[in-house]
Amino acid sequence: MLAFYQTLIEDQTLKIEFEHIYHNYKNQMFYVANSVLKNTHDSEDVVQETLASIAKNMKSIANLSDEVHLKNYVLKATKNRALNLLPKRKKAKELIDIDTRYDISDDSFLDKICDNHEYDEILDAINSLKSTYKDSLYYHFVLGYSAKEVAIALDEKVATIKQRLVRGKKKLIELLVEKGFDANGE
Amino acid sequence: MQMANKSDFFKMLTIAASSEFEDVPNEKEIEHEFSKSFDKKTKKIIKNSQSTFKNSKTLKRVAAIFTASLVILSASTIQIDSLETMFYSFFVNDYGEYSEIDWSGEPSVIEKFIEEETYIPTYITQGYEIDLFDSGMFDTIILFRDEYKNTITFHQKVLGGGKSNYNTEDAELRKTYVFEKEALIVERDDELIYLVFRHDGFEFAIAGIISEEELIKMAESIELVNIQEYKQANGFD
Repeated sequence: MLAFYQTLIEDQTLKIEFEHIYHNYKNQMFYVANSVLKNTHDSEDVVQETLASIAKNMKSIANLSDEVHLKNYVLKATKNRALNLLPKRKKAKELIDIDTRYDISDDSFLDKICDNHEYDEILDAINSLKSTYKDSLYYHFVLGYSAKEVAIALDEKVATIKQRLVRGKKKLIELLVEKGFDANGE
Repeated sequence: MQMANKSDFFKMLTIAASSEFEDVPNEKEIEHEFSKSFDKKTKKIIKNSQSTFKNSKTLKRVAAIFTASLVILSASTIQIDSLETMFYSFFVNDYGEYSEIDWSGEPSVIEKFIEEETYIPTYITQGYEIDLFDSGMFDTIILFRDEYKNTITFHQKVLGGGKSNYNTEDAELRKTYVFEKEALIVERDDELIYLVFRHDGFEFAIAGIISEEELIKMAESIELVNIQEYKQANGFD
């Protein structure tokens, strides 16, 4: 019986969580989409598409630990979908070629970044990153999503996200080096 | 000098990622009226999403399981003749193992959803306390428990299509009144008794091993409350 209730609660959570998103974020989703598109009709379409995508991926979304992450997930997913409708972005999406020459493992990246620099310095460096890199790093490292999961959330190709992760890690290390941080921690 | 560790790094990423939405107003401050087609399409998405939650049960199934008796059955899968009884304002098709309640003669309420407010019984049979509360667009379910783990289930649901099925195997069906309107009492051999009634465009079912009088008293005590406030007041937030 306990197992049954556990299953029940888990399943219920998905539905409750989805309705929570719908009731608490649909206006903000519209606001974010409309800030990008300046078009009510297109913005409503973006909100709808994002809600549909969220509904399909509730299992990974339901694992988000708090409201800050949930809000980030929902609004970033909306914003990225809106950006993808812009003609300039559409073109850029076609040109994906993963450059893995500078790729480093996540552990190695974290070792290079952490324990060797000041808090404010790294915060400045993160804030200097382009939002596409910042977002990919956030989804991957903070939310623990794979490149595929990030791609689903942001409606991007997996290759695009892999590229952003490679470049984002590289760029962050470069920024810290520019600020005087030795990437080898010396 | 403050050196950062991995946890700090994750916090910094979160701060940076969140900063771009700092200027987005609160949900209730945004005055946008979505188009009718948006509402229609989104409701469809939400309905479809229920089947997307692969292992999930619909809320009405959940309610049925909680009461251990109100099993929703598919009428199309059981080919047996029904004994049709008209209860003045609605039909009860008694198929033996289950009964179909047909409210379709009532005003259509298909497009009415539970939004910010839901009904709750303000009278609860003595000894029972609220144990579970869940409210969504389609259903509100409240489970009350006593110290012996007996339960009373309160279920408010949207009348999509106007028909509902209830397990009535080895049960006695009879008419009663709630708010001076016809309602249905189902009393089963295993002592579980439930009351099905319609009010304000919704269908309600209250079930438990309690007396018919208690069920009706609970039914007639229902009042609209704000869902968030009720959740907060009862520790379900």
